[in-house]
Amino acid sequence: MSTAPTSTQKPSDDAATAARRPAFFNRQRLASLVVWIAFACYVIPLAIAQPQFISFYNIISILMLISVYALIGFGEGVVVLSGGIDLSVGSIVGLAGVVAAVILTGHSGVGWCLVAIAGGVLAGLLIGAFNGIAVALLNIPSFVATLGTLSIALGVGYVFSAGQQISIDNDPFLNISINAYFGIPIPIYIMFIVFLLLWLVLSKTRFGRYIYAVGGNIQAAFVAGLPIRRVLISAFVISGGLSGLAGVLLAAQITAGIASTGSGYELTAIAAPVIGGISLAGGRGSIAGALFGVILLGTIDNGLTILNVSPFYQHIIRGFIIILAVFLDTIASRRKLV
Amino acid sequence: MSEPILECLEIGKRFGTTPVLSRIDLRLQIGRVTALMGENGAGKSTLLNIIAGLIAPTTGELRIDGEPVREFTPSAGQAHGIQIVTQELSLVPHLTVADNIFLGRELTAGSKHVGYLQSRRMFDEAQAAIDAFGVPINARDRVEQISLSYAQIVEIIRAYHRRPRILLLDEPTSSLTSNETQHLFDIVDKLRADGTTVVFTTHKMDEVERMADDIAVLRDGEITLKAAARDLSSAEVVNAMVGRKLAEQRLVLPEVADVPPVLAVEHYATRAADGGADTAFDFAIRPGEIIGLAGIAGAGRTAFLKSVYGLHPARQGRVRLAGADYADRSPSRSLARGLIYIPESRKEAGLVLSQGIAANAILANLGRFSGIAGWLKTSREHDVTREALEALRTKYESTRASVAQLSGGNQQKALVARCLIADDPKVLLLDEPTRGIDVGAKADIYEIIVELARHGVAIVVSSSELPELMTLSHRIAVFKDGFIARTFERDAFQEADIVRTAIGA
Ligand SMILES: Nc1ncnc2c1ncn2[C@@H]1O[C@H](COP(=O)(O)OP(=O)(O)OP(=O)(O)O)[C@@H](O)[C@H]1O
Ligand SMILES: [Mg+2]
Repeated sequence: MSTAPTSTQKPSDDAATAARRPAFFNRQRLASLVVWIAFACYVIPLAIAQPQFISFYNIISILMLISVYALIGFGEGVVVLSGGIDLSVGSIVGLAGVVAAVILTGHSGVGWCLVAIAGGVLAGLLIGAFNGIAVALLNIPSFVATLGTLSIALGVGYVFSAGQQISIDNDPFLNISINAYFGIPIPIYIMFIVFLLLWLVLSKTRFGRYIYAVGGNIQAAFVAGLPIRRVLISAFVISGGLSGLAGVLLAAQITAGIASTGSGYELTAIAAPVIGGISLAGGRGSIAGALFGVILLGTIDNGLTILNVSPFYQHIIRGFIIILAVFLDTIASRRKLV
Repeated sequence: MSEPILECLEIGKRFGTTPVLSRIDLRLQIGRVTALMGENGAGKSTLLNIIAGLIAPTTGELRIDGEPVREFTPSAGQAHGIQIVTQELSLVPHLTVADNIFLGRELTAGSKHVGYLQSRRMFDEAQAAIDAFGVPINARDRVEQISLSYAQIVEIIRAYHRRPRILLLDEPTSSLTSNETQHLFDIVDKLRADGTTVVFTTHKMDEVERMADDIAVLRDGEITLKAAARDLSSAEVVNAMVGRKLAEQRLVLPEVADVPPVLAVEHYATRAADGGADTAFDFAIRPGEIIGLAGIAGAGRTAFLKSVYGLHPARQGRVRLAGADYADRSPSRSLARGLIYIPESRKEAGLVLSQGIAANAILANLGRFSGIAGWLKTSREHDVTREALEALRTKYESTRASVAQLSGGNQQKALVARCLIADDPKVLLLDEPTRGIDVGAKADIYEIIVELARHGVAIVVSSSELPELMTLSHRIAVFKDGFIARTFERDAFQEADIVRTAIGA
């Protein structure tokens, strides 16, 4: 993946760009459009050939499918913007589901449902805080720290569940994924609310600006007096918390807590923001990109299923699409290796 | 004398076991401008960084308004009204100029915890501050889109805009052209009148004469001279800096033999001219010749050097090297043919900061140091590096230490060392080779350049310091708007003429 582009537009002595106003159709905009156009090239023919693809029911099922991925993708997006990476998100999904399931064992009623939700999210927040402390206070590179917690969270999940699948029969909890308002299930609302909140925070608030600054040039952020450690810890806590929430929603969907359910999700979580134009080197991109990335991946999976493509091939196609999407973005924004 | 606003009492600093500062005593008075002088690696940046709170001293005490400072963090320093413009750029490249100017001081609405950004207000205020400085920078451009010298100005504006009580400027003029330097001096004059205390470092004596009320000289981490500027001659300052008498330098340029040029550039252009005029130019240099490139920021000197070396394609024209057409230019082919380029920005394009000094010095010549299957002959690598660094009076611990630990000027020397290590160089393209280098070592670099020329190397030097080009070059080519506007022969060097050509007046 392209981690090098950040410093390609080097300040050089021939920067006559200084006085130019940002045009409406500048390269940046164009670049973000290219992937959308490619996306449309996939969706429109498919919708004509298979009208069920754009039925309300199918769109809802796509959104349902991606709501879990979206939450962890958002969290990952925040961490990547801050210049790090979080590999532990998949394990947190499993752990949070197990925690919720354990809490619900033998307990019914709305009260316990809320406790279970809180417990799952809290588990994610704790792992996230652990990641943040390891990275920001102990100076462990995030790749290594979260590779460690990937294993730790998975192990803790196995211990809590004794390696078993813990089924859930608390009705209010299961209703989270069944109840719908205006035909739209709750997880989809949650996804969009979280998206809106994060978008506001990242683009409109000081904290968001700090995330970009720390990811863009941590030395400069330090000299400017920003609380860089707090910013980094917050990014991991957000990611952990959202992964915990995703785990709770997933447990409600599959009516069980299974420690290994989220294994491998980190790949999608990282791919989504990158497809959406968030730079893996940090400091560049928008959380909307992460949303776009999961929508793209979810739609493609769904489309391939409708077209009856075997799941084995789906993996291969998915991998190529990730590379292709980033490649298109690279061409459009004229990024180069050096 | 008025009350000191800041006092350093026996401040000492060591990095690991390396002592860098010892027993520094310094007082700063309200409304006075102090020049902090010293050779590369003397400890100037280290001292300024301590005062700003970027690093903590190992021993000693820092007092502000008579109160000892207990917390050494950038935010504590800022809370005391201290602002620093660091030697290396401290801006976030992906953020806009306005975002960078307000970084850490954002204007927000709503409660303190929400911190809703007032982007519009910040843009307007930033633009006003930039316009007051008189430079054509757009506050909405991202920093990565603007040139190095504009980025430097943005940093200065940022510090100034925060109305500091103490302003620390670490080599603020090293990437500014003379026009911009003038603006900076005007600002410092204004600050002084308003009672702001300013400390700046520089390697240019004329700037000290123009700006400083007081001078403090550091040598090997100790203060060797402290006095009011009007009581000092520049010879005294230089002596205190280098601890030896600098011989009056008399450079004798070698005669250039009347042979065909080794590098010739014909009908060349790196960018489209305004209004479609044909501004293509020719350029030729013979073995043993030194040609200086003058011009204001953005005149196209760097673009020219880079495209000849093969980093960027040229818009049009051809390049002949040693008589043969050289169309498929690339850095690796250039190096193989003895065409060497030393870039202007040591951080972005020059050095691999995480690597050792020797590894960096030989980076472009790995072939010469590798044997069968690319196995590196490391002991030779270190010997050769040491030799080159010594010739440049570089201050370093070991050739294995990482370049990031060198002071700014010593990093520059590690970069310039590459042209001493190069195997049989034919043409050297040097882009601002003496940026941030101290007076003593500058003289050494001039000697080395002339010596290389005497051995038949053709040398192109781009520099924003005209006096440097005037001592060093056989000819000066003046760039303006992307092409060579005029070339001056050595016997016709007139500073005023050259400047006028460069700014197009
Ligand atoms: N992080 C570090 N680790 C080890 N040594 C360091 C570190 N930072 C600086 N030094 C050493 O401290 C000495 C003083 O460095 P400093 O940057 O203060 O010099 P300076 O006077 O600013 O020089 P210049 O004119 O080149 O900018 C140098 O010898 C440098 O190698
Ligand atoms: Mg320095």
